[in-house]
Amino acid sequence: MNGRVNGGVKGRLVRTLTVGAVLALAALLVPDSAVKSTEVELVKVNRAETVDVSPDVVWILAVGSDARPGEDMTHTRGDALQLVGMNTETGAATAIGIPRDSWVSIPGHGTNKINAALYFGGPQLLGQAVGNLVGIQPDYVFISRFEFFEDMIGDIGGIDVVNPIAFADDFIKPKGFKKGRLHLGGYDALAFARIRHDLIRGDFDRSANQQRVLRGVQSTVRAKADQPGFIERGVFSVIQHLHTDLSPVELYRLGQAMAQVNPGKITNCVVQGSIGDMGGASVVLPYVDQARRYGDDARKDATIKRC
Amino acid sequence: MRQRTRHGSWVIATLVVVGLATGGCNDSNDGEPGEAAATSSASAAPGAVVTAAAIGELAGRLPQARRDQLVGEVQQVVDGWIDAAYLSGDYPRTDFAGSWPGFTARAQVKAERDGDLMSNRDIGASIDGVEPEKRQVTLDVLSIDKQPVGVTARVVLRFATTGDTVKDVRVAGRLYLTKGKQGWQVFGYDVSKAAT
Repeated sequence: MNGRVNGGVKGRLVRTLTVGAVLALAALLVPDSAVKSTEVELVKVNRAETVDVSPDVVWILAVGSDARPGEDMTHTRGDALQLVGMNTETGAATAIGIPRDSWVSIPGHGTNKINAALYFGGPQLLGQAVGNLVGIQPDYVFISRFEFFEDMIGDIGGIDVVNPIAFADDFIKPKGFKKGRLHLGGYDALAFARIRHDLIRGDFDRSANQQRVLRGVQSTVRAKADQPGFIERGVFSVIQHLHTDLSPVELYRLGQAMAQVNPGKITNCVVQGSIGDMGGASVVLPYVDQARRYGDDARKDATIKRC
Repeated sequence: MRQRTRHGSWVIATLVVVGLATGGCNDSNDGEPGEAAATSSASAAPGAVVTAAAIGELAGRLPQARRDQLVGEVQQVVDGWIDAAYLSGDYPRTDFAGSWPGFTARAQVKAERDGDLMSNRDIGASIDGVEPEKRQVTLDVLSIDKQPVGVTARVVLRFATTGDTVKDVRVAGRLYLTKGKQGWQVFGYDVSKAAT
């Protein structure tokens, strides 16, 4: 499977995982310092790493579902949308944030908010709608539920994020989040990724915060990735909580591939747009050209040169 | 080939240096296997350095008999690489093709790209021989429905070279394996090679 340009693919299989697997698997990241010692005369240490996962660049649509307990998570509305590319050859990775209220064409269902695609047609249709916007069809679609996300963050001991501006939410986080470096537990990490009303640029800023959480997960586990059995326990935990059509072997390989991502080679961008009104509903009219530029830029190497 | 150091590299390297300077063979820095399931090559000559293999961390349930079988199967793959890439062959040696018999096709290509690390290609032409000092593999296992589906093999190999280039070499890191139609195969690796 491969990330593909729109329109040229038939029979592509989009894999579905119904758990917070992206973040859980992202928690398998390995640190990688580019600093080269100048004291090689004493000891020379070289290191090589690779993972054989086809294709070299894997595209995953990470979806945070707003499903409540008892609801079918695969047919609700996606609350958070991040198209994540991972280059297993170079260790680069990128996340393209999609505002959930983006007003787009949904195949077979006219025009609607992009997150409605999950409700209309499940992960396959949501993947197709996002793929049509960005120009890259995801190889996998991961859907998480809030509860699992919280538990996962708690399991890894919380995460650190750098918050560029203070914000709060009367219901979710009345005391709010201060500006600066923050340590977040499970609940706070979820709140940090969900709140938008107090953010200056609403959904756009929230999407950027979701990317900060992803980076925070990665940073938190950097020191743990070398622990014996860390990846095995992580994948085992994910398997216990998910419904998937991936085999355990596929999932294990994917997890190991994610472990090779180089934190220094991660780029993040959020698709921007204007605010519109559709039948009384506030929507985002995404800058499609910009979304396509991100896709064109990152398709082959999972790197966006500039947002 | 990517070359780099990590924060932990100096720790490892220093331990190697100290160990050599004192003539010691204390391997405590290499970690202790979690559960004893050691095996060794039955055909090993007296005094030969055989691979110490064991289960390390286990995620999921796996019957003891299956663990022993798994250790043997994965050890065979790891030994195949260690012997072909570092210990076997007639030195001085420049041909390292076929040094990764248990690797997937794509992993073989990448290992050949990293041949200076994933084999003795960097020093093969300037040494007369290789004397193994330590071979160890510890398996971290993912088991689903009592079947192993993924293994991280933590490998430690130490050997001394003779000839124009005399040094002690430590190869250490992780091999990632899954089982397919051709048995257990290495589909990825994260390996360092340090020489004193």
